[in-house]
Amino acid sequence: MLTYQGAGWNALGDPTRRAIFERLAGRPSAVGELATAFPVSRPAVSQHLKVLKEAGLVTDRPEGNRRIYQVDPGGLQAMRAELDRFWTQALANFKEIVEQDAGEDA
Amino acid sequence: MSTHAEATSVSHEIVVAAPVERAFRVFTEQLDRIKPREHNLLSADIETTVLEPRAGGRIYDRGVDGSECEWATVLAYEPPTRFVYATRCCPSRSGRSRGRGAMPNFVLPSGRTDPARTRKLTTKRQQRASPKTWGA
Repeated sequence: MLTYQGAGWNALGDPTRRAIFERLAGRPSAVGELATAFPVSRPAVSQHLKVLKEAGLVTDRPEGNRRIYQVDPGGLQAMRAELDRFWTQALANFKEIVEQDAGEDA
Repeated sequence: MSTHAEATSVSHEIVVAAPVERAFRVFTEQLDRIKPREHNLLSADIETTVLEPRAGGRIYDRGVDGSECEWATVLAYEPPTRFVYATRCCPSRSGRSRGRGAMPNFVLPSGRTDPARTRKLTTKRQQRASPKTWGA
């Protein structure tokens, strides 16, 4: 069990976190810039970034005395791959069931 | 089966040898057998997946320990050709607040009958779409 990696989905389930993520997709930013752009405190932004980072959706790097956060394309790719696996398997199951039991209701 | 990769959507399509009415019924009544069990956000194994067949109905997994994970809402239930549900990226669990992390993703299976009485079922999951803007 728990082969399903829910971290990315849970991380993006929070509207503020999703908005931060979307902004980072457009432009890498420091915590201070994000705190200015959103109606949340700097510590709250840091906490959101921590969750996103742990989910593999953002990376950070030092730049002078700040840390710049940016989207990790690999994290998004992993979520996309999960969807592809889900639907490939689900549709294969569907085809098997709907054709296998076809005689049940003529 | 074919897969189309676009920047913001995941789209899969399959053709099955069954009348459209049956295909619709099987998909909506037996989602429990169709949905891969390993896709599970509960902390317990899934006992069953329940789909409430009406617009506004819930789709949820129930764990062997009785816990529930509501991961989608039915937007359209129009047998036998149209079924739309929206998934949540942060499913609500029993005991947790509902509505948090409402759903930027949509799934659209649609059907049509061709002369060979097969049904084409397509699903498309498009991020940040809204029901109103979904193509008619």
